[in-house]
Amino acid sequence: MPLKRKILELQKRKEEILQGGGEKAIAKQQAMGKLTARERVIALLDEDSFNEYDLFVEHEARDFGMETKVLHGDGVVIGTGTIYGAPVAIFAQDFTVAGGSLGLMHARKITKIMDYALKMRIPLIGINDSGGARIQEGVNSLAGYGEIFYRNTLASGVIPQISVILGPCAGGAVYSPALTDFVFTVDNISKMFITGPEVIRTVLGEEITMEELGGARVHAEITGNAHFFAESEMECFDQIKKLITYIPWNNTTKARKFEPKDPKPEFNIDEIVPGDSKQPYDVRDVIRSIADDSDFLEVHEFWAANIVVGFGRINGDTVGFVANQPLILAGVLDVDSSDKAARFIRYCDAFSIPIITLVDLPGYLPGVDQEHAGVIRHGAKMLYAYSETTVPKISVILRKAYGGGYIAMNSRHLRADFVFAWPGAEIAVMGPEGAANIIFRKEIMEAEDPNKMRRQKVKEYKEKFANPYVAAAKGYIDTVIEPVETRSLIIHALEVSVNKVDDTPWKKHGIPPF
Amino acid sequence: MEKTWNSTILKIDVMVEKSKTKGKKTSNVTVDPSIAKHPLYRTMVIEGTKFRTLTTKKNEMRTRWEAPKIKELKSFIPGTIIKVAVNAGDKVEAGDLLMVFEAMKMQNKVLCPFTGVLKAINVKEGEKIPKGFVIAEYE
Repeated sequence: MPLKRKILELQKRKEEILQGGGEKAIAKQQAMGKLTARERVIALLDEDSFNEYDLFVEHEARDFGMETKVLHGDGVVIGTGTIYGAPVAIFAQDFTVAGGSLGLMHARKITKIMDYALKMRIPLIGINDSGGARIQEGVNSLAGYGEIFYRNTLASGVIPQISVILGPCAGGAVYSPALTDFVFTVDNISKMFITGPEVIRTVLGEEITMEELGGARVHAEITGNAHFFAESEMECFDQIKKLITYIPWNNTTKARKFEPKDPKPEFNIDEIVPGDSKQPYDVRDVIRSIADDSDFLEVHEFWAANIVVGFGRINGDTVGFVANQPLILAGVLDVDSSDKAARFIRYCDAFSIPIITLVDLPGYLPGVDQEHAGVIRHGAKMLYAYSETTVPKISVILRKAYGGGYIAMNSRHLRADFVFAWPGAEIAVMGPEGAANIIFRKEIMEAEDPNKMRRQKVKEYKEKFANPYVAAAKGYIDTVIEPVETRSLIIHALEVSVNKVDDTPWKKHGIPPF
Repeated sequence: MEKTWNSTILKIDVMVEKSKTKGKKTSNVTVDPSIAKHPLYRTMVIEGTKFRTLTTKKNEMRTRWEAPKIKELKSFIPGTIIKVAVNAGDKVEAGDLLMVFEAMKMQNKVLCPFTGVLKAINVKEGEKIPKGFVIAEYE
């Protein structure tokens, strides 16, 4: 057979496989408002950059009549490509082929591309759209999941791992995204749960829809399983592309440097934070008044919104921001916000991204539900995360820094490199109201007009202690700065920290309060 | 397209957007004296200080804690009553079999937690009950 005919045969074979599950299945996928696996990969990656591997893989199922069935590519697309020139490894489950169900060869394709990403030290992106385990393949599909989880864990902190949930992702399958760094979801398309509505109804008698149980909104706002929420697949891909520009390819390189840009003039740092420490404001505006081009990519925008975390750039270099949000729940720390911040801090540390912490919090959220939900254990994660982190760490105390909150928010005592405070900073063991009630209890009780006395003592305490100078006198903060100096001082601090060396005693690993 | 997210958080964005269209800065929203009376803002007391603040859907949805009523026995998981071993009015010893309760494919023996007289049994054999259902009461 001449080579030309062989080439024609190859083309014919490829053409057939690239049809995935066939016209009917593709029409069904489109009816659900979803793109097909290959359309997604092509939309996400740079034009013509995608190269697909394992196109000709065939499934292994030999029981229940499966041996006569053809499943193109065994329901998953794998390959490599680039995003804004950055190399990435990618897999995308193909729901049009046997519902994207995971069998032995399907899993082998995924683990192959994971091994490749880890060996080449490039980011891994997984697009999940699968009905779950392929029941006909029995324990082989469980083995497949286990091998994926294991690789997710090995790769954690070495290469960035991104999960994109563009369809159902149920049962054991959800644990792979949960082990990765960032989970992207799309409204009305993403569905994640361990046990579905059907099981819940039959076993527990509770009626709930898939969307209410594990839709994108639920995970973006209530559970925190999703880091990003988009209204369409295309918006989701834009978010992923943007994230890729902020993060390095692996844990031995730095994120790419961009052209430095000044913040936009509409974010005037002098006009954002009200003088009265009880007045709320949106701390994201402070971030935008510091970051290059006022650009801020928020992670977990809707979950635990009382703390804000995300990426920005200072002088062209990526930094991670952690900031209390006085607008939501007065900016308190609680179970969820501690979890959220601790994880983000550890992400930044793993990938050599300096951390800028903006402090303005009244303390911890009071309540039985918080105590019973283990705010002690969860709050401790913040202390652990900041203490173990060795990337450059800069704190700016904007206003309130009281009690445990002061310690937790990257204080000097937890290994901060630079701590700056604005003149309106109130750094004290507790808020003036609480402190005055304890210290001057006797005077207040014995006064003719206790309320008047209380107000007077609160004022006294405020003037004497609720300022940055007591902490500055002990060297706990490095200097008191005008708000307008913040950006230039952060730039300077980052320049000074370029060769930072800060060792931790040898250990196999610590025991964080998981 | 306006977002229809059912949460106070996106409403912030809506508020911020509105304030921007008026030509004001974002920060002006927060120092607006109307915040004191704004329906979205709640008062929170933290260490003696009162704050006006927005809240989260999750915080609003949280179940309020109630002191447990020691004489009421509640199901801590939904399931089916397989067998009821006692009657209302019976005097029971701690550790006596109260009922057999099937949940998650497991038949659990429910034992009397302490000695006393049962005032009421609120379930029948074969009945499916939800979580938190008062199955029996002591006098």
